Amino acid sequence: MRKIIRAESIEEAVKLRHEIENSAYLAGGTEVMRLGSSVDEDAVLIDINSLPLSGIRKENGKVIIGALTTLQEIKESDLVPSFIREAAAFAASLQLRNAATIAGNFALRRDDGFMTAALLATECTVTIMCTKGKKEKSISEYFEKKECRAVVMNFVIDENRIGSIRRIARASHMHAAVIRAESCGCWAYTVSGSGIAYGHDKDVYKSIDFKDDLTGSASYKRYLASVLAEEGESGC
Amino acid sequence: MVVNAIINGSPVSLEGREDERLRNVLYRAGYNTVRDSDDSEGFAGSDTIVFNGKLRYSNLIMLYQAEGAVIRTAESLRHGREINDVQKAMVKAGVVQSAYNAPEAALALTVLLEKNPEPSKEEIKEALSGIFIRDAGYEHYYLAVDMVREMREKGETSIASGPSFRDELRYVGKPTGKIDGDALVAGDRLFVEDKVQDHAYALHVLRSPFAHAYIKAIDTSEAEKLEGVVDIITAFNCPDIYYMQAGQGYPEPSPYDRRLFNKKVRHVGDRVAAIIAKDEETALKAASLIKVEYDPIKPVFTVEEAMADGAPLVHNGIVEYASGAPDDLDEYNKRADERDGKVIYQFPLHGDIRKNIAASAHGGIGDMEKGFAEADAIVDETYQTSQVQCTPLEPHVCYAYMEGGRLVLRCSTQVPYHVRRIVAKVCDIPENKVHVIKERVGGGYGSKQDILIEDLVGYAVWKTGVPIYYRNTRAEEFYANSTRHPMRVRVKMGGKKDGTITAIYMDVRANTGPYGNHCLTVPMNASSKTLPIFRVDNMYYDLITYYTNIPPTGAYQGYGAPKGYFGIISCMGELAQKLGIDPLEMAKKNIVEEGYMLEILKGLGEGREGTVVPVGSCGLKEALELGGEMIEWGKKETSDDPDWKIGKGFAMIQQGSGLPGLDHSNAQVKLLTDGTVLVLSGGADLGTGLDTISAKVAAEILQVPLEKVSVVSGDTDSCMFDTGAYASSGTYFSGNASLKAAEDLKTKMLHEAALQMGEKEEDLVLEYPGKVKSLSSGKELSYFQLSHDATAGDGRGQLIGTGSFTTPNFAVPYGAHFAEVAVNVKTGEIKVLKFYALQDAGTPINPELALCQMYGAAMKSIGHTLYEDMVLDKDGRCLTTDFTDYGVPMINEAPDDFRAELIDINDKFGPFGAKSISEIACNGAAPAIAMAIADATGVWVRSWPITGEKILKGLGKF
Repeated sequence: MRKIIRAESIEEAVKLRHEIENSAYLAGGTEVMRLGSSVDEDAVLIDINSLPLSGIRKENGKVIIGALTTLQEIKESDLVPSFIREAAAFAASLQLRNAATIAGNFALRRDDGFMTAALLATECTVTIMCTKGKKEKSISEYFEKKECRAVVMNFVIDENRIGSIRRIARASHMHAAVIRAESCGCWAYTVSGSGIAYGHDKDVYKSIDFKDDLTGSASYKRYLASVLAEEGESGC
Repeated sequence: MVVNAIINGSPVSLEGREDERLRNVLYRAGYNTVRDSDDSEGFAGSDTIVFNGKLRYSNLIMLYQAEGAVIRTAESLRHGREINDVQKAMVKAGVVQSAYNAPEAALALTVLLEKNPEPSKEEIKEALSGIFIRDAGYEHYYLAVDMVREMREKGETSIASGPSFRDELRYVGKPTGKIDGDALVAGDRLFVEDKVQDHAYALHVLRSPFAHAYIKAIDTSEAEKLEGVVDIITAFNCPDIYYMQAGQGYPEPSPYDRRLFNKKVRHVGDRVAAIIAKDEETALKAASLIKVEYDPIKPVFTVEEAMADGAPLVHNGIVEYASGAPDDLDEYNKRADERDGKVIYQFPLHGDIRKNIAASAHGGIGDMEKGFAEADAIVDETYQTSQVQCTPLEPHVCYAYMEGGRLVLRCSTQVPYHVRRIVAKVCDIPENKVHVIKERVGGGYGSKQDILIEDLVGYAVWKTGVPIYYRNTRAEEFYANSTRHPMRVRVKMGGKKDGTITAIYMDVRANTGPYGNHCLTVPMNASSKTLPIFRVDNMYYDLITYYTNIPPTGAYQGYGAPKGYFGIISCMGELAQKLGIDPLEMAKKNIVEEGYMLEILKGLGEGREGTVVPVGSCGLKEALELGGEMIEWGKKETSDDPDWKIGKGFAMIQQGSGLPGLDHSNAQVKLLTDGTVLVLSGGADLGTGLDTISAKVAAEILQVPLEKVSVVSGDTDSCMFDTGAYASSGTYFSGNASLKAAEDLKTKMLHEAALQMGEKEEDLVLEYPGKVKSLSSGKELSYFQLSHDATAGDGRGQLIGTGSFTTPNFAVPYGAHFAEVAVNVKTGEIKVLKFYALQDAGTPINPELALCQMYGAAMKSIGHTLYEDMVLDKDGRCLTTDFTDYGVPMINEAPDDFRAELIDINDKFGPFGAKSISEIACNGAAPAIAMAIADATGVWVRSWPITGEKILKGLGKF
């Protein structure tokens, strides 16, 4: 039987995550519970669902999206920049969007991740809680720290941030071959089975080591990335 | 742990493990509408509930998370025996068919309409975005929502769920809803899993990690010591009985090339051992303790590899023939390896296992050399279809137990009588010791024509005496089940400038995988269901099927026809292009018409000599003409975005209605003591509405209200023999058997009534709603009185009609499918903008179900064409073992403009003029879409799936 600990506070969650070597946060559960999950079956689950980390609000020219905000809530919110809402809608079904959270989705760092690409392109700030207290980090800084055990509290995005996102997949429920997000000159690419690249150069995808997988050949995906790189910038 | 929640408005305590999936707990607690189709993938939606006001997958919620939750399951939709208006509309619209997750679709739409009484099409799409529908497509869900809106506004709906046919009939040809629709959409306990008792044992199959290997030894000693292990069956202790799993008429045109377990494994996932244990956990642990010593052999995966000189042999055992053995058989068998076992042909299929050939056939008409010499242009191309899987929402499942010294199997099957025969053979017992009960089938599509698990479960129960419940995992459905035979179809076609096709040659090379299920008949179908649509004097076919080490193949809706049509229509399109003529005009010029003698059928008889017959009722020309008008054939469409190119394509299609000369159906119709009617049909309704057909036919003949007719079917003890629901036989064969039984009962009722009434039999008629009337005296006798007196102490006995149907006559459905497709020539994205399916089903007995089956089959075929693909790695391991990786189409993949049209044709031989409907609808999408893509981009993609990558390659983009 799986061990589950319900965290009473954000601080406790962080502490537990640091103390228990093989542990994972449990948010929406769509990754932890799904067939073929990337989360170790023996990992202790630290349930953070009762923590006050959900909701979307506008504050001082920023849109603040709580870590436990579901993708459906994001899709339906007028406060959220439209390309982020569009990214949330890429989650395959209403049932999944009603459960999956923004932080859970981003934390997976999937190389076919729609929210990964969208949030990296926003150059937003991530508020996290670590053992030393609350911190604000750039999304890129948080993203690069792959083994980060902090609790993500929220994502802080400029309210006027505009951008676009493109997803090329054979079908709505299939994994995307290539996703490209662009916002105010920041480009982010996720390429299935190959990697993630982002930066202010639209050709940043060239740094990815393209590989064949079920979504297509390396050369196909490299070509797609090059085509998507040429599609119009948001111009903000 | 115990969790307290509010479920469907009542406080409920749920008990289970803290981390247990909520679905399992809910089902155990009696909420049986909450099913599982995807082993917690979070895809198919059979586990959908409303959790604290939101639609969620209950498989992705742990029990402890339900503490204090407000939960709603589909059980909440029914009040007493009254289903809600959404459920009623779904039944009326015809979308409730196999219905494994119909209650969840109803729940999703009910929640949507509670929040938003006027939802847009996009909002309906969102509500159903997590519900996978394989049988009925998605189109009539929009119709159901429209019906609900109107019912709520006006108290009733005038929206028809389909057209009506035959004004003179009361039920046949009218959209009445399925007779079991209410029970199915409500989620009654109708499926195999609902019948399982708590004490059932588990069976786990240890499977091969190798695609091709001899099993040198198996050590089960450690596993056997485990408490709770009842038995372990392997190749070293199973019966030495050869059989095959295809549910075909006996003697089968497929070789007996397997035992329950073989000393050679032939695909990754092949059976190695079966562990019977007190529960799944024990069985799994035991499996991990079994030591198997393999001797791997190089595998072959493709037709090309299998046919190469010196290729490893998938079967290299002793060959035997039940009849028709060749003279040199002893010499042939000198090269056999006993570890390979045997291949026993029931009659010659022209196989040569020393060349990996399982079966072959060749034949044709006319003079091919002359035909091609007369041509102004010739196209000679090869078309490749891929391995795709039926993906029924309910996987293969069986619950079996001993009762009164007999083996009882509760099955989800299309062929209960073949199950009985094959299980009896494997157990080496007579058929009277086996009772098969077909429960409701949560999707079959051909895969449940094959006896893929019942053989093993039946034997295990017979051997051990313990009750066993077995269910395939979704992954096993892909790698240890049956799939469509991949085929390489070479078509050479010659034509004149005026559009006349002068010759067609088909070279079909099929890949049957490790065993020869349907190895002759599926590839034969690629020609027998395609060539007879052409009025061409010179046609020839070579069909060869090869053994390989891919996952097993078998029957799949459409059988060989979708592959044949992909090749032959694509080739016709390419030929028309080469000749510079319109392919639709070329089609019209070369299609058959009623009365045309089909000489080509002589060699295409499923292993026996075929019957040459004339074309019967035929709506092909009408379908082509109407489809052309609907899609505005010839008008070039353009997009505002120059990157998107739009093209149009079509395919003319046909199938069959059962197998004349081979199939056989029986039925009984009883007049019950109160004058109501019970039909006992051998036919196996797999959700398509066959029981409704039997009921309607009986109601029409006997002049009673439909609700006074009940149907029991597919129970081998109570019903008479039927070959089963495959080859589109249901309506034509089982329906005709019910019709003949009803007519027989009518005759007996009139005879008995004449005696009771003192009237002449010829003066009596049956009158609605259930009385016998004398045309001479005006006297009337109710069916109640008639039956009561017949069964009284001095009566002449219960009135029972019996019908048996066999026929040499063909009732062939025809049709045409049209597609309009947009392709982004920069990114390769493909959108099916329009898809029009036009079919002649004779008299559609259930028009709304027929339309939904056309949508469902066309969607399936769109899936095979564009998305679905089983991918193996270099060692033969299947990489696509869930719905996401495999790529089934969901509601967002449905064409923007999707229409199904029934061409009104009355067939001479079908019951009330009916022919088959759904299989044929699998045949058109691939060639129509391929032609449309070629029209849009200039690129002919000649292999499934047609992907953006292939188009971009064809355009030279990378």
